[in-house]
Amino acid sequence: MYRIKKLLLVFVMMFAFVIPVNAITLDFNNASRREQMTNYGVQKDNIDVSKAKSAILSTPVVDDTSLKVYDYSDVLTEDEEEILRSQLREFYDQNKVEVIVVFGNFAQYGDYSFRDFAANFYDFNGFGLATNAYDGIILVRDTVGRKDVIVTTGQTRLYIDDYRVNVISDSLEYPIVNDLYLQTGEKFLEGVKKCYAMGIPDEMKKYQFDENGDMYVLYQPPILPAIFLATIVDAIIMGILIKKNRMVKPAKKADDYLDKASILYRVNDDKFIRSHTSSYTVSHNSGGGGHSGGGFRGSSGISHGGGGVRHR
Amino acid sequence: MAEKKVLDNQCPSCKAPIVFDAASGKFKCDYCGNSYTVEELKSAASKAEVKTEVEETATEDNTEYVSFNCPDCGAQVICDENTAATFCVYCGNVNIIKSRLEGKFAPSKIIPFKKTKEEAKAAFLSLKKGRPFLPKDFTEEKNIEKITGVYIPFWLYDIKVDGAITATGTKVTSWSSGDTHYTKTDYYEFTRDGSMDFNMVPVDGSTKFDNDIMNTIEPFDFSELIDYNHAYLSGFLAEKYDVDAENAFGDAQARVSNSAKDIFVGTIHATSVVVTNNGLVPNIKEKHYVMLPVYMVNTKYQDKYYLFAMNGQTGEFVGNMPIDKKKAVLWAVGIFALVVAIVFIISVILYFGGGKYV
Repeated sequence: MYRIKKLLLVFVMMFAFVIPVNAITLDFNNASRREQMTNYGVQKDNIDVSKAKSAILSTPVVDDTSLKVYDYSDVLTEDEEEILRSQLREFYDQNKVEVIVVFGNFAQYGDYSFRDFAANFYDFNGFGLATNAYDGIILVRDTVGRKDVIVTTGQTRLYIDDYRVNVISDSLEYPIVNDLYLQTGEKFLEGVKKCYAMGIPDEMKKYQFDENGDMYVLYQPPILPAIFLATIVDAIIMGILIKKNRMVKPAKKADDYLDKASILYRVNDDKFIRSHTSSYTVSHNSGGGGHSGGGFRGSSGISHGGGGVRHR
Repeated sequence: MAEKKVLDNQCPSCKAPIVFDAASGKFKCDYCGNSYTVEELKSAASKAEVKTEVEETATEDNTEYVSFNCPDCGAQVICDENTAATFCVYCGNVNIIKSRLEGKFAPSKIIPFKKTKEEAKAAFLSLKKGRPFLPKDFTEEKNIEKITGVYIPFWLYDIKVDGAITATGTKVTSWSSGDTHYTKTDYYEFTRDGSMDFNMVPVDGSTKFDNDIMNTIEPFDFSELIDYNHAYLSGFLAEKYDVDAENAFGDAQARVSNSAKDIFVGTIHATSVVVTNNGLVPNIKEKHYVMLPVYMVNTKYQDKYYLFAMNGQTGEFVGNMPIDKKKAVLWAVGIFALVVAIVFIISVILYFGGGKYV
């Protein structure tokens, strides 16, 4: 009996430490798996795997991209995961836009590498293959380091620009801070749906995607700048040419007739009266809002949008 | 009837009319080919003076017009009271009315013509270079023939400017410390007292010629002034002054005052300067009445007259030219279209050259 209890205790202790340890830390030792896979498991054509090999090998392998929810920290129950998954799948089926949610322990990443991790997770696994530009959005939450980031890809960058990403991120404040992970995922999807319902913002309509999924600015003839510059250049040149026809200048001075040797200064006095000092301080305003088409390139070479890493 | 002496330069050899040749600086006879210096002509001219009877006529503008018979062809020549040398419109002979250049009207010095009429014509023709708005027919032959050499009466003043100016001004310095920018303004009162001389400041002594044009063909090289002799007027028109030295001094006074003020202000090193009192007084030290050479051409274009003048010594050619409006509009449209096209081409090159990707 004592032996059984001891065995039982050891068994319980295993689950008490092993499983939580697995839940807290991600096993990123996927290099050996990826090296066995074709193209290191990368299914996207416009990625040069030879250039991104090291980033690819350190990115977890996702065997099933249809899961949409990847809870490496076990913060969701099975039921919660399924509820969220079905909503994300429904949105994908309707719009062919990936909405991916990842929870895990990413405490070892700094802000830039954390953002890159999110982009790599999306790029080096088979997400967004239904569209030319691999359209989709991913939310990655570090449950231990308490930080999160949202990264957009493809056409999703047009519907959810950096400004709207920040709006969505703001809306996640309450559930994230209070560790309400199902609510976090649902709020995230709700924000994405709203953006797609609103359509592409006017400022983003000047962008498009080429056959490689790279975002580019549509050509807009610089009409106003051309007219402005042409007017100025025209005025200057015409002014010079017209002035050439006006040669007569009334003489105001007699400098040519000055006898420089005759100049005599009897008094040369500078009298100080008073002094006045003024000052002003420049305030630095980081600014805010505004729509932006800018972004960053992940290790894959694919261009992404998104907000900054939030610590909360 | 009043008797006025008309000097008719004659070749000592063949008695043909003889004129001053700017290229050689001598008096050249076109008939026998001989050329003479002024001294040689002087001694011959004193024997060749012609006394001619003239008549005086008053006009409704109170301008005295004189008529006399041309000593060469006998035709009646009419000129106004200020003309000192003129052409006979029938035979082209130059008649110098010597009496108009005597007494107080006698010039002390003259700069003979250095540039020829051909050089003046060439200078007029060269006006169209670099002037795309000049009307095409402006430099036509018919306009060029009207170029005439004229000796213009000038007053030359030696002036001493003496006095003081006071001014207020500021010296501004600025610097930054962190995010704060500082600006320090020091206020001063400046005083400058002294004197300076201006030599040979020219003012034209005739109301017939535009002062601005006469100013623009400056400067003359006054080192080439020589003693006046009527003979130098041969082949050219001439005028005596109708603005005396005191009245003409106003122009010179303004010019030297401006220059003197600027020289004093130039010694003030400040960010901004405002002259509050200008006590500089110009005084005439000496004045000279001289004849200076100028080629004139008066051109009519679209019912408007355009006067041009060339410095007969240096060749400086000036005048305000008309603008062909049609040409100007075409140029403006062309430049505008060209700049717009260049901007578009550059934008396309930059765009398709890789600048389109985000």
